[in-house]
Amino acid sequence: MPLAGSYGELLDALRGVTWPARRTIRGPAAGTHRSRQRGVSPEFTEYRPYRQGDDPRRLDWKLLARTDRAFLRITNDRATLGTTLLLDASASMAFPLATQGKWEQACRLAIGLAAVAHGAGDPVGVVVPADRGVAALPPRTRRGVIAEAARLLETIAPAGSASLVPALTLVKPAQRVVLISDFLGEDDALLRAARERITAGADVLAIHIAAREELDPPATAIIAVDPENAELERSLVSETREGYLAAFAAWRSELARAWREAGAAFFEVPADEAADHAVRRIASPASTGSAQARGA
Amino acid sequence: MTFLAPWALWVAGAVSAAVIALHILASKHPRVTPLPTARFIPEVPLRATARAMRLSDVLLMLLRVAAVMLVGLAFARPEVTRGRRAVGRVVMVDASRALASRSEIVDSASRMVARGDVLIAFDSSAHAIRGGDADALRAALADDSSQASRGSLSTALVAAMRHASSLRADADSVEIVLLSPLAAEEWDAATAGIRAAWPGRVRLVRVAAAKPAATPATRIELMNASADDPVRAAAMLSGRATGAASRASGTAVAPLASAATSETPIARIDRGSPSASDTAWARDRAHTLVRWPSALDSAGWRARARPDTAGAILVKIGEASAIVVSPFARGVDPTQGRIIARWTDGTAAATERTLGEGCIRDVAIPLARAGDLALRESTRRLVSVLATPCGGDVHYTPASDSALAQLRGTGPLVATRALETRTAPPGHLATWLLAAALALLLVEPLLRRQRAAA
Repeated sequence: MPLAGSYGELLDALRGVTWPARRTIRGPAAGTHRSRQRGVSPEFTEYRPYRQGDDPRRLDWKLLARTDRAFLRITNDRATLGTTLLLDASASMAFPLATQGKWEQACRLAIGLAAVAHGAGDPVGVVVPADRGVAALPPRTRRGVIAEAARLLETIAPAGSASLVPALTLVKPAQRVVLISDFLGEDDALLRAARERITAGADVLAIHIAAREELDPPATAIIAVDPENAELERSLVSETREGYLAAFAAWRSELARAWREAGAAFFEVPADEAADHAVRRIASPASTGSAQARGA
Repeated sequence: MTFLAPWALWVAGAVSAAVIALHILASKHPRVTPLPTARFIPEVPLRATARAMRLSDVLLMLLRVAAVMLVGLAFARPEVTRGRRAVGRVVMVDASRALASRSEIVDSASRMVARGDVLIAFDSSAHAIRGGDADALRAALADDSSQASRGSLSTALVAAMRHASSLRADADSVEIVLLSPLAAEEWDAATAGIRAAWPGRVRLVRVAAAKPAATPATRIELMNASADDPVRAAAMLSGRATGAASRASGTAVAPLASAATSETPIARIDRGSPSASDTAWARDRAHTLVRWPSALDSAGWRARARPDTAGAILVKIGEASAIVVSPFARGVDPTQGRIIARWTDGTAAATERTLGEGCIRDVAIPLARAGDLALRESTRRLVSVLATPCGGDVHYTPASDSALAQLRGTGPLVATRALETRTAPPGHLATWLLAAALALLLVEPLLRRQRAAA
């Protein structure tokens, strides 16, 4: 289990990284994300003819004096975006047993994304459902919230088969929700819940953590047992290895397609990928299809 | 490099094959491993994996095989050879009293022996000559010629066979060479049996035997012999105690024979009971004390269960012997000892016991005072033989042809690899191989644990 201080190198590597929202948001507080509201910010966007009912304080009086026509000066507002990181702590995340590689990578991604979001002034929270209850850190903007999140994750050992769906419903709408999971213990309920959040205006990102041993299992013959279902026992030998690889690849492809069709951003992150590299890939405007990238 | 016990390599190979087979069989039982994505593995019967014949844990298997082979190599007793000869020799050099000239046998041995051969000098005991060259042999034989004793071929053969195994390292075959006068006295009851244990032939080289020394005339002292004592009469007639005035109660001493000198050995025949001074005289001065009581009943010897009569007596000491045919009334048996005279039925009539440098002979032969028995030539010879020096006369008669043929044998040279090596010390190479095997066996559990954790 990593210590809070062990993320220092990761946080240093992510200094200066921005993570824009994928769509305009409706936030009251001033932040870095494009807001749906047009306000009084100095960032000029366009002129619009005055219509009855508009606030006369937004008239461009100099333009009115020169042209004798009334135009409103339109500017873009910036707002903050609350970000909740929802981590899967089921038994399947404790793989491989010797290194706990998937859970370690999930923790690194959560801390890295939280740091990036917190650096932009966004409130950041962490929610980890478990069999014994939900460990949650509500979104906060205060200093030290990253260390609190690290300490929270430090206390958690992956076990059981708790679903992410109940925890997802606890997240406030119109927030950015990051699901970090292997999605092996979930069914369509999680996808439906995510779709509802997206429809309600939430920005949902699904990050699939896959261990290298899952993507390319060893060539030696083994009897594989599902850690979340001990009755599921299959023999992985040369005769079944190709079938496994094909089935797993098809499942991952279908998983990505379903989440993207639902409007979520989907990322597959191998457990052995450098965490800072993965965070940059996730936060990149090109990959997220953010509002800035689209020039909205 | 040669292996003194190549069978160990075969055993190690067999064990290694078993280890490899176990590793192949072990793949029939794949280890159970958690895999979250197990659901994507196609469902096939588990026994399908049991038919998979594939090596598992190759590194672990190689380590185990290496350890087994190292142990096998160590037990095979490898020896580094720098060049082998076709034939190595074990040269047995006779240094016994039967040898005429030590310089002659040293010269013969120097022509026989080569570097790396084994030289063994023997008489009644045998010892290997360090260095194995003629100079060392000459030095070893030069210092004790006066102390030479009777040779023993049995002892020499045992030593030769024991040292023959030391030639395994540098010779393909072993030849035993015997340089000896081949006197008959060097054979004993065990010689034939010991010779049969050596499968190869023995090369015999005869050297000159010592000429038998002339047996000096023994001066006889008669103690406690009365004037009509038949033994006294026989001794007087034999010329060994001519003119003797036997002592009664220790007053008279037998005179010397005319040809006797101060070096003439002395035999004291006591017809009474010897005193402690007589015993000390025989022990300290290498004389012969003959205890021949005139009254056998009062000698304190064990009486026979049933006194009887024997028709003759045979006495033989060394090469000297005598036979007396006459009715003897036997009433007692002599004390225990080496039998030097027997009755016609084989029972002991006289025995000899070594006492210090001399000996004591107990004679239980009654000689009748009446009659002419004491006057017979056979009786005089009987007294003379009983008065011979301790150990008897030495005559180096050559061994018979049959004994020589048996000793020579007809077999081929003996291959060194067939020799026993149980007494040979283990080589350093074997020790190092065992140490390496032990190190591998110490690494094996660590590697196995690491494989289990992976």
